[in-house]
Amino acid sequence: MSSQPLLQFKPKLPKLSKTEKVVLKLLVDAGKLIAPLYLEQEKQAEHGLSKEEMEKASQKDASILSPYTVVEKKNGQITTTPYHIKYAKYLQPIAKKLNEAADISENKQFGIFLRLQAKALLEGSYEDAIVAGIKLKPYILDISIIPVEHLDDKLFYGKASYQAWIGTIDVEGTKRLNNYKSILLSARREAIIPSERLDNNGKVKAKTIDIVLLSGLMARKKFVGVNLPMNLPIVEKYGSEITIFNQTNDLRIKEQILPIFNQIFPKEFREGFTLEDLRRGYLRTISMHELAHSFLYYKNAEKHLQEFFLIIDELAATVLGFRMAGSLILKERITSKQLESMLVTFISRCIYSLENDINKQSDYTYLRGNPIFVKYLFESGALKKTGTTVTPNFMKIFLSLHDLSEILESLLASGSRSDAEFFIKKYV
Amino acid sequence: MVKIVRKKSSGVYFTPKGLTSAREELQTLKGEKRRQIAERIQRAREYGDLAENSEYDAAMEEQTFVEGRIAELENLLKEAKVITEAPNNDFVVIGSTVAIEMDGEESEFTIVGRVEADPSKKRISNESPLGSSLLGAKAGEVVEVTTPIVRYKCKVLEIK
Repeated sequence: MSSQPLLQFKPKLPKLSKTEKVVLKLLVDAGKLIAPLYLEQEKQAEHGLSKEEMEKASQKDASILSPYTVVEKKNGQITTTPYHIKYAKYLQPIAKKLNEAADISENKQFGIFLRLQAKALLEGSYEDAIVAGIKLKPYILDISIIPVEHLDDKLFYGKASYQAWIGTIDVEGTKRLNNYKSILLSARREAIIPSERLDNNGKVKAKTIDIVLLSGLMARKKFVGVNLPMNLPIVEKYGSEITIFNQTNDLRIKEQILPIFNQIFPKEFREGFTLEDLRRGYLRTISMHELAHSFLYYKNAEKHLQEFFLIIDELAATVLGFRMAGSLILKERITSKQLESMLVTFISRCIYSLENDINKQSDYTYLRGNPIFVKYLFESGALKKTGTTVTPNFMKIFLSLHDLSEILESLLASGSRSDAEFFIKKYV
Repeated sequence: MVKIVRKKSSGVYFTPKGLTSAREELQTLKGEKRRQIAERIQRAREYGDLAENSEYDAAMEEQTFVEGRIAELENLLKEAKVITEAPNNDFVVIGSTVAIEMDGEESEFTIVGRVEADPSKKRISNESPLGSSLLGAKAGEVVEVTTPIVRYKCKVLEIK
């Protein structure tokens, strides 16, 4: 595997009371305990069952496809065990830390939220914890410690992985993010098939955080942003929440984006961008990507596109995010240079994942959209390669992305599995 | 605080409310705020050793910011043009509220001078690519909005 499922940072913390410092420490201790649990969960995921076997068995036992069960084959029989029972010995000490933090928290609502997360871990009541998170009023400390992301399940993308983030709110970053949100989500965006799309743009919360600890799947993949929950009925009922992470953005810039940026773009071109331009550029790309998801909730897309859904959905959000950034230029909220910074960082990231993530055993399907992005741009002439050097034509890129965005949204709105497969095979 | 964008052309448009707000801000900065900063600097000096004094550095930084803002506001107010006439609905002028369709999005905003522009509050600058392209357009008309990267057709749905 590419990296350990635990990342710790030392961001400049805001002013915290003595009690808040103790609460934060307890939460960090709890978050650390997610890493061994995640490793155990990875072992369990290798159950040796085929997709067909599981689908067939799920007709008799629907819990096989639940996001929160471990599936095993014992003596020829397929069995399922809920996460909270299977992993109880790992979960009890985590819940204990959360309850200790809740006991002393000066913020009553945050205390209740911590207890609900502890309860979810021990009893499997995840929806209550998710809803409490969405309803939580802004508070300086931030945590999520229940299994949510489905990206590790390579058969169905349905099983949730354990993960945690613990941090403090970046007030300025949150203001900037909400400013973009106000501009972009207040517009009415046409849906390709209006009756198929869930309109969630009125119920989106957004925050930027300084991370103290990341654990589990998101630490391994160095997530810069998340948009949760992933379950559409919950999104429809309660809304969604975008969280952007400053420190993993810095890490990705340093470890992945900057080396590729320096390698593929000519020196004179590179000199037009400062490190801060790149840092902000990638952060803005991820922010727009997460905001764009709000316009792409097509109710039957996952069912129709099956294992190709995540590739199409993730890429569609990125491309629509760039398109929406175009309207921010026209309204003078961002500059052309800032859009260029977004594009060069994402192109660099795509080439990084093409050379690293995609070709490894630890391949993550949701990243397979990245090569499509760059190959589409090369094919349209928006990116040109001379030797080892890449030259972008930003106006052509923007035009190409407009077309690509339409194709991807059509696939989400009304495409079939074979449409998606045909499109992906053309570029991968 | 009203947003300041570097001046590009002569004349800075203000609504009467925006002008009052900018004048009040200038007055506060030149009076109360300057006094507060002077006191802060004095207090910080009393902590001793200026080379290792972070409070002194922060106070000096704030002073630089405030003086910059005062200079900026003074320049803008020198060239202030006040929009006094209520906009009519025949074509888009500064002060018009317009509903548009562009790139599959329908949105509505008011065109204001750049000092009062705040896209998150649906106030777009008359000097922005979108604002400047819309000035003079009639309801139903399609205008082209261009920048070095982005080029869109924008339809005026309604002028309010």
